[in-house]
Amino acid sequence: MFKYITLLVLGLLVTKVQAAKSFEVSVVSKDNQPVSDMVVYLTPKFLLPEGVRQDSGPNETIGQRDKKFMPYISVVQKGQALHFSNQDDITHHIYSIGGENRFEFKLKSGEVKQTQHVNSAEEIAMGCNIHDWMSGFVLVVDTPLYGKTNDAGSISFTLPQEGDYDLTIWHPQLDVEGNQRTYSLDTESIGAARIYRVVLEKTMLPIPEQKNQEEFEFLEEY
Amino acid sequence: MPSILDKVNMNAGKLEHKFSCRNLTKLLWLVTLIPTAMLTAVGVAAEVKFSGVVDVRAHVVSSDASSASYLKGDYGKFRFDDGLGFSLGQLGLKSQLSFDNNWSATIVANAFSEEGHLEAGITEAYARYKGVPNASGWRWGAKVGLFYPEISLEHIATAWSNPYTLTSSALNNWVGEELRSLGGSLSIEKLGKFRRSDHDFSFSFSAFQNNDPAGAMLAWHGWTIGSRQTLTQERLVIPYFPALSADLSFQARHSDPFLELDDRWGIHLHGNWRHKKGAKLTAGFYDNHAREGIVKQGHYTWTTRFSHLGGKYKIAKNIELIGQYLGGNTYMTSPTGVNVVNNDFSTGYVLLRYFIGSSQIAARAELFDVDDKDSLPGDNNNENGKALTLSYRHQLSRQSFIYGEYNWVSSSRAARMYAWQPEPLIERQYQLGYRFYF
Repeated sequence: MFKYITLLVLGLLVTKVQAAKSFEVSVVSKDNQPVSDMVVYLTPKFLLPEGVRQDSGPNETIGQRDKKFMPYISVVQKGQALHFSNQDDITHHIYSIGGENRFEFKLKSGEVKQTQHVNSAEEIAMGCNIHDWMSGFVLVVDTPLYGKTNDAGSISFTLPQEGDYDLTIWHPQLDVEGNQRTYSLDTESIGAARIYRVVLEKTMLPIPEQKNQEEFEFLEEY
Repeated sequence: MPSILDKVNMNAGKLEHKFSCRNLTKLLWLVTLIPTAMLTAVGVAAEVKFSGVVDVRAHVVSSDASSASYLKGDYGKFRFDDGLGFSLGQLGLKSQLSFDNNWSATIVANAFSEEGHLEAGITEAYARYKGVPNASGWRWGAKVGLFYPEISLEHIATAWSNPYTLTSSALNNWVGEELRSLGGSLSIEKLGKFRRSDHDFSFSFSAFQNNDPAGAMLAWHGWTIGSRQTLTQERLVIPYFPALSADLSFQARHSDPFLELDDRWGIHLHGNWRHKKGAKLTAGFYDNHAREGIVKQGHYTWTTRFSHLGGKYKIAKNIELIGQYLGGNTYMTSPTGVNVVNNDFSTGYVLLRYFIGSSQIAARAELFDVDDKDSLPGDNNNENGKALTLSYRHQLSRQSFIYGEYNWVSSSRAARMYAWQPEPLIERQYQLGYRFYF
């Protein structure tokens, strides 16, 4: 009997330890509507164990489709490369502005391109020098714990370790200084539901439409 | 001993070149081969891109004067003569070689036909630098070669075609007929998007040559409503007026608008404001800075200055308003400094576009005026008029469009009396067109 109780307690403990690793962040607007495509990342205030410091998963490819950057926002970890794929039937001239991670290249129809590794954690604003209305962003973060909220405004993380973290949300249309907001939290004291809820104080700025003003397609730069 | 008139005719004859179909073939080879040869020669990463437009039309023109087109040296305001006809509205071909270093080389060739008479040639040829914006959104640009001064808000498509209507406004038809810059242009732009601004600004300064006779046709046939661009080698036929046999007997019978006669540079300043939500304002000043009183082989310098203003505004998702105004002065003197021709000119149009599905309905209303300020006998350039265009465009597929268009021009032009035509005249034109962009 004692043996079974010990096993049960151990089993519960194991379950608790495993459950403790998953953690969800939910971002809602001030009128309680889910906010999708918000970049969320967790920066541990302690040294992560070796082996989990660098995200080794494949990056999201930044496509050029219908003369738009798709997705509009991407997020990568410092040290990774950016992947571009021109799915249009025309050439794009992609560039980034400012900062340490500058790049500029022409990408013909159907071509793919991998940039050199981005070595500075910062916001990269991108454009196309042929189609000025095209606009895209990459946020380079210095942590393996990052992602974007889904349509329900939430994102799940599997934490390598419980502890003190800085939780940062970022979006080019987040109407605050630096387009970001950081919250300090201890993952062990966020309640049994393991959900951290972020309520935006201000309405998000409208996302610029990546669309030419002119309705006609066969235009030249006159 | 040849008379003065004979001399003038001889000179005019020397300058006249007819362009044949054989030359068109040569030209197309040229347009195709030059970029390819350059690409091979320089051996740098570059991309060649061809694009173009084919425009075929049927038209009916009717007026009480039964006049031929201004292109034939008569006083008809349209591109086509009185009556029914078929034409190649435009065959435009653009060849662009884009290098990886932000430079590109562009050649645009065009062919047009009226009543079976085909003309083909180069309309633009330039090298262009387009920098990449910096962190604040500033972008530098430069252009060197033969190009259109940035004036038209209608001619924004391949090979300077006008996607909105089959005919151009009087304002831009004149730009296509007499204006072209052979020189250089520097531009600076400020893109607002990197600073969360919806406003973009640009400013350009151009210095050019080879546009000294510009203004002559505005004096001698007045404002016209067509769809023609003057090819680099083309000569424009001057209509008859009595002063050609008297005070202006040295004047050639054709005008070559792209001549350099005084070795002076003209300038064009141009500013542009654009709002992301579909508004645009442009303003500019053009001065060909021609030195008065120079005449070479029957071609006089015309000192031509004007200002232009324009705007585009998206009133609703499916309604756009476009308007432009241009006004200035052109004058020419004899080599002894006597004022020969001196005209103020102005024109403006308003174009309203409405979209329903794949169709566009456009209505353009315009006014034009030439005010003759000199007292040269036998050369009355006074003119005023108004015009209305109603156009329907339907997109058949991604690349092909059909157009149906009606133009009405009511003008009063004193010089029509020289050709025994009524001074006040109403001209009407009906056109059906098919366009294919590639």
